Amino acid sequence: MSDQALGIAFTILGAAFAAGMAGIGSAIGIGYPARAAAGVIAEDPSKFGSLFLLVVLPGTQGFYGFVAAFLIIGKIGQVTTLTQGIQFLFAGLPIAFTGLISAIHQGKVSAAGVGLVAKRSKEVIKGVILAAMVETYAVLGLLISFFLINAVKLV
Amino acid sequence: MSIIEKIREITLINERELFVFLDFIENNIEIEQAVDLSFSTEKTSFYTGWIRKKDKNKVLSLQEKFKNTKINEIEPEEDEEPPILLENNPIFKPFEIIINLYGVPKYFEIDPTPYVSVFFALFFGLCLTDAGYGILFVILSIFMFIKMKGSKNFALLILFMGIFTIIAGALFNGWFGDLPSYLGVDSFFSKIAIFGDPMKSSSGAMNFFRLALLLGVVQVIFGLFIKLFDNLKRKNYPVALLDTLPWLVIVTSLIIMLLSSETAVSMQLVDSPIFPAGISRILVWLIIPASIIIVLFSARTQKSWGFRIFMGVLNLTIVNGITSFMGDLLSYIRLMALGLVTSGIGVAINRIVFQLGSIPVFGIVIIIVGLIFGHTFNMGINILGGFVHTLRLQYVEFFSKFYEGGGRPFEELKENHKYINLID
Repeated sequence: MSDQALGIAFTILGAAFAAGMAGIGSAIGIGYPARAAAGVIAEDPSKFGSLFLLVVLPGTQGFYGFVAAFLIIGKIGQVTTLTQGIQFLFAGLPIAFTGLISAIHQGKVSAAGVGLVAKRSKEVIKGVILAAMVETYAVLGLLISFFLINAVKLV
Repeated sequence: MSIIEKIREITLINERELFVFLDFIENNIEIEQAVDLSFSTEKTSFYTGWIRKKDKNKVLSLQEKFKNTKINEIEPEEDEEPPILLENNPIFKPFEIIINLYGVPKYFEIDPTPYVSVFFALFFGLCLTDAGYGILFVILSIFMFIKMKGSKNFALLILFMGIFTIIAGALFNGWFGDLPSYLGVDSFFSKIAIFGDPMKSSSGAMNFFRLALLLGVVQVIFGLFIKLFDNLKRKNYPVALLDTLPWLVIVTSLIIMLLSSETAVSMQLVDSPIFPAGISRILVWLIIPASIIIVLFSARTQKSWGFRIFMGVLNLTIVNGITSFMGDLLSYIRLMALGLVTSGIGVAINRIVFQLGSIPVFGIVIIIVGLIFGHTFNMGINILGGFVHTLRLQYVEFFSKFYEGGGRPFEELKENHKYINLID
């Protein structure tokens, strides 16, 4: 296999990691508040609106991963060496890991927020803010991935 | 016909009247609850409550109307906290909701609404950074102004957020992602985008990065200034001169020193040092006394001097000290990340849709439907993210500089209509 083909394969792996792991995190993360919310809705269907906010919140990491993957995919055509491919793989890792783990933990915080809404539905924004605290680090991961992707030297 | 069906039928016919009645009953309940708080004997009753100063004459005039009432003014007791009602001019009024969500100020505390408003709208605009979405916001707000009766505050809030989104989007070349380049009109739009396109050029990305950090510096220092002047005004000199002023000096000096050094250039914060390198030698003489003040006085409530200085050193460094200021400033980079996510997903939607759109005949349908769905979706998730992170920047990074909150909100006894709109 040529160097270029290997490089492209690694670039694809980088994109796959970014989108895949952040996506897994979001899927698990949404699972927690969604289950809790279903119980609250059984008691009071009118709370669906404010619960929805909390449920979708851990979904953003999946999109951070998607954006990073999309940026990497845009560079596939320009990859000529194995080193570049491995660089793109590593560049995708920050958002892959921060996305995976922060989404799961954000889901747990959101699920606690669902409990908050069950008792005091007016305080939903406070629950959302608490959950957003966790997300900060996925945002930072995406930023670093973004800068790393741009830092890879293509001829 | 069962009795339940009969009830349902009657309800349907008289729906209108029933809802009006429900509104009336609910308002009456509130009055009843207020009455319950009074002390009464068989013939007399005694009510206490807070009123706004400007309503005083209005309330006193009730005495003339109802001959058997007597209204007395009571001085608040020493430790009694008056309830808080925010009053701002109509422009800032919509942003009061941000303060109400966090907690209204204490009675003698400053109302941060005007300061928060500009930053909030601006930061939200940067989190979206898409002029196309901003235009939709403005259209929506105009629609709400025309259609909705009652409070216009929400419409006004959306209008402001839309305007700042348009500005941010235009500067960074975001128009429904990169839609202009598919329509062949991108040369015009990229001319307006003086900051460059963060998705396509690294100079655009760096400009966004710098702008986000710059806004962080501005907001944090502004917050310290508010605390300084607020405490000076309240004659709270120890807090102003021992806690606030030294930090203002240290943070500003350190930033100027950073911007005058080669480090800033290698971090790509600036293209060349903004300040002459010699300035560091002067600023050090400001930082040293300010640091000494913090070490000696920041823990002035402690009795033992050893512990006081130990706490002072911690306060200077890791507990609410330099590291936390650094963390606060770096936190503003999220503005850039969220802006990038909006344009990244927007660009991806455009590419996918236009690739699918190369099919003959159906292509154009796919393009139109795909663009509408895709961008609605992108706007939705990014409004959520943008709103939440903008709020967080206000609450965590900005408020921690000068604002405490935790006052008791003023609960008005007023008619509150859920189902009907009164038009006078």
